Amino acid sequence: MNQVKNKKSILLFLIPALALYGCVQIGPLFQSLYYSFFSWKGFGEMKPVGLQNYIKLFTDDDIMRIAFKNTFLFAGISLLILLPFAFMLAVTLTTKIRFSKTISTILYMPGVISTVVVSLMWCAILNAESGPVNAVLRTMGLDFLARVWLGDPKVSMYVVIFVNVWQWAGYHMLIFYTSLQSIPGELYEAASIDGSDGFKTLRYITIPLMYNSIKMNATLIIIGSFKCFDIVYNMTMGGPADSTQMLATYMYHNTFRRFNYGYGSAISMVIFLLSITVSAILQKVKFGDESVSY
Amino acid sequence: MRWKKMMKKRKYSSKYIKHYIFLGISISMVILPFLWVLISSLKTKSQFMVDPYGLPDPVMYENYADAFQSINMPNLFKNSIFISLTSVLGALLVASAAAFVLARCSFKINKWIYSFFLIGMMIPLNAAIIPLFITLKNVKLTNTYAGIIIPYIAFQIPMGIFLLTNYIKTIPNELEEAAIIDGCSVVQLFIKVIVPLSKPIFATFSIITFMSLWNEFLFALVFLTGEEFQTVPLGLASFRGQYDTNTTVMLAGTVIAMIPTLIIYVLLRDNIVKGMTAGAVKG
Repeated sequence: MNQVKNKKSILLFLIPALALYGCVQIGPLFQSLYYSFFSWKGFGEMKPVGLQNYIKLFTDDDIMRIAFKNTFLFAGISLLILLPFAFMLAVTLTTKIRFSKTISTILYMPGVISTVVVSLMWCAILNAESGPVNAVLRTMGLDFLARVWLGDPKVSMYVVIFVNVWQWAGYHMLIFYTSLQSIPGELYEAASIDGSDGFKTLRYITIPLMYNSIKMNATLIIIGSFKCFDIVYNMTMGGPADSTQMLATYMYHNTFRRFNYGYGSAISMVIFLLSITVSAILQKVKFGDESVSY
Repeated sequence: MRWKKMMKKRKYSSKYIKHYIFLGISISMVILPFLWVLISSLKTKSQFMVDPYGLPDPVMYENYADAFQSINMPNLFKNSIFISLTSVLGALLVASAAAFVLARCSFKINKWIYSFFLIGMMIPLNAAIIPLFITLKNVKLTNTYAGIIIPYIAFQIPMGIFLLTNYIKTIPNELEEAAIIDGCSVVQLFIKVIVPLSKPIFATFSIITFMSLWNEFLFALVFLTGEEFQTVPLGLASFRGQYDTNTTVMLAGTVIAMIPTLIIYVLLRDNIVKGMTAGAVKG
């Protein structure tokens, strides 16, 4: 290729990608930043307000506080449940178990289906009158546990988080599973000859070799909660009484329902900055000794 | 000595029993909701209200016909297929051309351009959606195929360049050198040498792009407000307003919507899994 002197044709190959990416992804990012300093209804006059949108966002907006709280709650609970659970599934599937491929195929099934389908399914399952969850609880005599799952501000956020965990457990399991399969078997043989038991092997061989995939899964989960929109929109629309608002849904609500384009843009910049910061930090952070290799 | 061996064997089988129980519970957690949805979608409205886990009696295939008509499924599927396929082809074309140059030319600036593209993998859709909507509205592209396909292509470019550049780099150079000596132009080189050799990664990239665009919701919700161009997820979401009164029909709708996805998944399972985990490196 270096022999090719025809730079014009090389440019021809690169320009469509650069132009599209620049105009549709990078450009709007700066436009968003610009809009975030204005009070604007999407048409007509743009009134410059300086940092007012950001100040309101961080100090003077109760729903925004709920959205922040829910987003971090979402990220935290998802991390606490998904990481260990997906890891255990992957480790279990890597043992000499039959049908492991079929099992992994089934476990990842919710991940290939659209989140809208998953949301509607679970809305029906959790329905207070006709849903099987309350019906099962009543049959077991646990009536006091039955409730209006999506209509009760105290539990609705946890319900949405649970459904999200249900949908993505298989995906995170697959990432662990793929990376487990790349660990050479000899390592485990050597360990068992040296008298290592199951737990020690897990602690001193498997987990250190999985730091990268743990990090990758953690990043995906945290960033996923920053931009989480589909599931909340389709299950609760942010309600009841804004109790399930998250950053992305509140941005949508402000921009496309209330036509506060400036304020919406400010929220979108917060989402962007949080995402970038988390992926940068997690890329830098070292869990234990990452120089371990095989 | 024999009992020791037996003990060991016993220990192993009991260990695996625990594994099977754990996996069994996990699988049931996945399958039972689907099963319940499928069974409920065949019930009459009145049976559904009083009998949450019995078998359908009588079997209401009409729910499926109703779901098909009430949200105009044929039109939704037509739009989804057209939008997803065109976007996949577009993204493949644009990203592979750029990846070819980035993998093969050793201009100093290329490294910078490559990193510039990779930044895009960290930019969430939400960060660009407001200005994009305003621009699309100003050039009258909201509620058109082009207005959704162009953003879809653009947002798949970073991932495409990441996967394709790394793959093309692993293709040995000799073939191209021979082709250049034979007087191939750059375009010919790309079409006759690179494209045929990159087929596996093209397939992986196409499949994961197709799956994610088929399910994409936020852009579709904002950019396609009229019914004419709506995609399957959008059409389904419109059930939500009426689900209190019509749950069985809604469930039939979700079954119709997931069947094509599940068929593709079962047929292309290995490719999808490979692609999804390779794409995850972006984190």
